[in-house]
Amino acid sequence: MIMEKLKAILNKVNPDYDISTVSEKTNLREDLGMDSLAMMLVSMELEDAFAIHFSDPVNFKTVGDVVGYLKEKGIKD
Amino acid sequence: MGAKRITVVIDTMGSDRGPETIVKGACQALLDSEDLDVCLVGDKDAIEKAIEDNKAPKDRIRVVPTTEVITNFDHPVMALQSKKDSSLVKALTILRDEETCVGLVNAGSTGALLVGSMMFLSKPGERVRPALAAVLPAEKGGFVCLVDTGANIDCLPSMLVQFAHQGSDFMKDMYRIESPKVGLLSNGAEETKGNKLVKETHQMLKEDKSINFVGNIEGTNALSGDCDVLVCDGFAGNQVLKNSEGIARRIITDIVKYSKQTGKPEFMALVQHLMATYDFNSLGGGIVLGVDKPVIKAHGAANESSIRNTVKMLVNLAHNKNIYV
Repeated sequence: MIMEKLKAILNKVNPDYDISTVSEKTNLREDLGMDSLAMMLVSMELEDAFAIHFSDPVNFKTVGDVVGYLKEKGIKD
Repeated sequence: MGAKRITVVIDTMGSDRGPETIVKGACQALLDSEDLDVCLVGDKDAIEKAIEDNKAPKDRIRVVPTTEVITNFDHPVMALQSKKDSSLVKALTILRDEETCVGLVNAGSTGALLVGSMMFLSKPGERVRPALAAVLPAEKGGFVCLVDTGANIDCLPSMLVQFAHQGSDFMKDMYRIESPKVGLLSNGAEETKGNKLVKETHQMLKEDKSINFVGNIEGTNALSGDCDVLVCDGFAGNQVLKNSEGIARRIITDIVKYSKQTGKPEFMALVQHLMATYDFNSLGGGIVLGVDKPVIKAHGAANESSIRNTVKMLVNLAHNKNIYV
């Protein structure tokens, strides 16, 4: 469930991202070409979608980092 | 009953020239519009001293003191989250929360302003990437909205399509152009010209019937007025903007030299005209598109005249588009 929601968010932030190839190993910057604005937009969408709050800046490198962070926050897969 | 009053929020910190110049420009802007109030955010002592020095109408100025500043050396996201008493965070909060506030002027960190605008001035479900647009004088009269000018360096086709819509909406609001002509910056007018990004974007814009796409525009015609909105990635847009500034400066300097060398002072009138038309201080600032309320990024080296013109842009925008007041 987390992965599907995350893919939907990535697609919403930029429809040009090739979501079909996204896996936990996907590097957000290198594979998807996300810049800091896109990362910020994704973070804000994550807060809304999963009802969480980023109290400190988080440096996600891969999709797996995001999934792991959400699980740590108690989001069930 | 008097006209409804409007307020422009001004972040006085972070500019190259210091808060005194920003406050001076704000005080001058008050003389342009009787229905305008300003909210000056930043170093209280510096702001109040500048208000005294400029003999400004104090009843139309609100000072909001802050103790922190977000600089160009700060990481935008971290600074916005950690510097809660910074002038930018306070200014964005006031703009978001107060209905009479019609816009914000800032001459500090562009990155922080863009991220902050997105954080504070966009609603869940409606968030889009902000773009930074510049409005430049066109050869045929009127203006060209160049978007993006540097906020989005690496772009994908859907981002350029989004910029086309944002620029088009802005020109409708600002200049009441019913169906703004949208051009795509390329290295040739033919639709086969351009890099991969431009070719793909061209096809998407051509199929988008909700905008008035007029095709590719070459750099030589960027400011011709063949289009009202010129779309490009932030890297190319920044080059167009800076090259235009550089070429204008070069031509103006050459005319000044020629005038002195030949003893023909009449050419100085032309210099003054060109300065008034092309100097960035005369043109106001870059507009953040894609957020709920207008935000303008003034040049870091903006003088008081530039700040005055930037505030005037927001007042005009508020008067044209009544949803802001």
